[in-house]
Amino acid sequence: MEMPILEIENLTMRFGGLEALKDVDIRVEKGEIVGLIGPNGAGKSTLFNVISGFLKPTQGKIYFNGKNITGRNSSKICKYGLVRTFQGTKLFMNLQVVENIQIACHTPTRTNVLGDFLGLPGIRKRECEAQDRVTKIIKLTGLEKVENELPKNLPHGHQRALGVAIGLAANPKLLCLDEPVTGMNAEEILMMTDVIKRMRDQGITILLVEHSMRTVMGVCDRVFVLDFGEKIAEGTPEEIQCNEEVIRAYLGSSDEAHT
Amino acid sequence: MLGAIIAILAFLIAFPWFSGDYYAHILILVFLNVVLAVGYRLLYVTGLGSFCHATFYAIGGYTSSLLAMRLGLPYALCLLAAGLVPVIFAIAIGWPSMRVKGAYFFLATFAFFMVMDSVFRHWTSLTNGAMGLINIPGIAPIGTLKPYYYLSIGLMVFTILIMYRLDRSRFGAELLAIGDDEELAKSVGINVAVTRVIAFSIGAMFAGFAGSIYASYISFISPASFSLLSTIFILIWVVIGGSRKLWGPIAGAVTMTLFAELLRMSGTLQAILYAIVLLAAIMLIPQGMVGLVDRLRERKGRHGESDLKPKREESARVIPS
Repeated sequence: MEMPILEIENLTMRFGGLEALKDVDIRVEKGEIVGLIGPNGAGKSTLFNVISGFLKPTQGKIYFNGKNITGRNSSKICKYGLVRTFQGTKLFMNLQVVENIQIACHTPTRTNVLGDFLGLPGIRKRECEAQDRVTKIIKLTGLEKVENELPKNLPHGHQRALGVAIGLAANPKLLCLDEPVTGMNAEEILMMTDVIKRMRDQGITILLVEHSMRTVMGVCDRVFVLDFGEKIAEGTPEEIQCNEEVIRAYLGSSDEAHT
Repeated sequence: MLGAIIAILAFLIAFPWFSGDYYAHILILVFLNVVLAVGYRLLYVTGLGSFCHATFYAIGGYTSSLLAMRLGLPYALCLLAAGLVPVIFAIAIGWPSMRVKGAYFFLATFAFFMVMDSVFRHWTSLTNGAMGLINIPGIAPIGTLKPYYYLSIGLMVFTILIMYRLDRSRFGAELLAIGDDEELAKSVGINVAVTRVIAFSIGAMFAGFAGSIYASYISFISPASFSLLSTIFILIWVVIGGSRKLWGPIAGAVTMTLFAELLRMSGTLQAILYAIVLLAAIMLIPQGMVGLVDRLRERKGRHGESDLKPKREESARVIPS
């Protein structure tokens, strides 16, 4: 069997006396779209922060493509190909849309101030390739018409699309999306799920945290459910929808299950 | 735009031949202050301000003076060393303190200012203590002005050209991005700590160059020439000018240096008037002159043209990667 792209073992995260994550095990295979759901405060965002290196876990191991990345710093983890986006609108507000994407667009070798400064030929060539990618990403996320705007002047849907575009520009093998469709209207959601599927078709594995049940059930191959920091279930969307414990913890008390 | 810059430069180059020494002297200080301000801006745009920029200025001054006086090195070498030594210090302070969060960088740079001030004052055998160094040799006999005028304007033009190029490089864009959102910058693979240390070091290097020219021009330096207030003045220039564009700190340093000189004539009122202007500037134009101009342009654009058009005034700047 092929090596999973992401493997999390016995992950525990404590903040003082609060146990935000308790012995969580998660495996994500290459090419999947995996959903991560759970009621508010279940530890979904904490899990994202730990995976992406923003928090150091109290216990447990994280393997990315077989490599132990536990406790590495976030910019390193990004360069390995594990990229996360943020909840809400977190953008470079004072840079144009196209610049937001360019800045995230990394080429394999580290940028070097001096070569960059002198405009060395090798770097020039990489600029062109990067420019090509920027154009493709803008097209994929539907931002062509607004590429020279400042993000603060954009409608909400475009802002969220830009958030995903920034993550995509960082050249991910695994892209972790934190609530990409929250607050969107139906049309925008449709477009975003389309973008997510197309990213998968290009070989990017997706890990998705989302509140909108319909989105999760509609696009995900598999779903994990967290509650009070513990993984209480995993399976296909259909299995999760019928799981007694999940319904009790999450869906049963809310109308969201049917929306 | 280019024409205006060339005209100003030509004027400045001809200036000392008809102006008299007093005005040329003021301009030398303006040139050096511009170098300090644009160097300080580099780190400032990432959202960090140091408390030791004038200390790098001092280190440059002392390094160059001591090498010239004690070892009799030619001035070119002294100038070079004055740029390099501050970089070593900047890396030594910046690297450990920028990798941790919070106020550590401020504390570290403040402590560094205190330590170096103490070194300059008390290591008498090296620095001559509070008395300072006198008769510092330079590129011309003490008391001559024109060679230093051209040296300092040369440094200023060189510094601005480098900064202009950096602004348009990927590195410059990364600095702005970090200033916008540090977490997001990290998440897309920008090593925030390393980038900041590089910015801090480049600023320190130019401060060192300026310090060397200052010391050899005035031919006297003492710990009192480089107080905490000196750093705060640099900060003020950058804040008043605005940091998002390169011309901001240039405009800030020029206007505030000239303004302070103008106020000198008002005697005891100087400090009070300076404070009033400073407070007014901070309250009325929080983004500095850069922010003011941007706002005026935006308003003009909104009146003149359709709202649907992008309000951004410049053509797309392309960030190389």
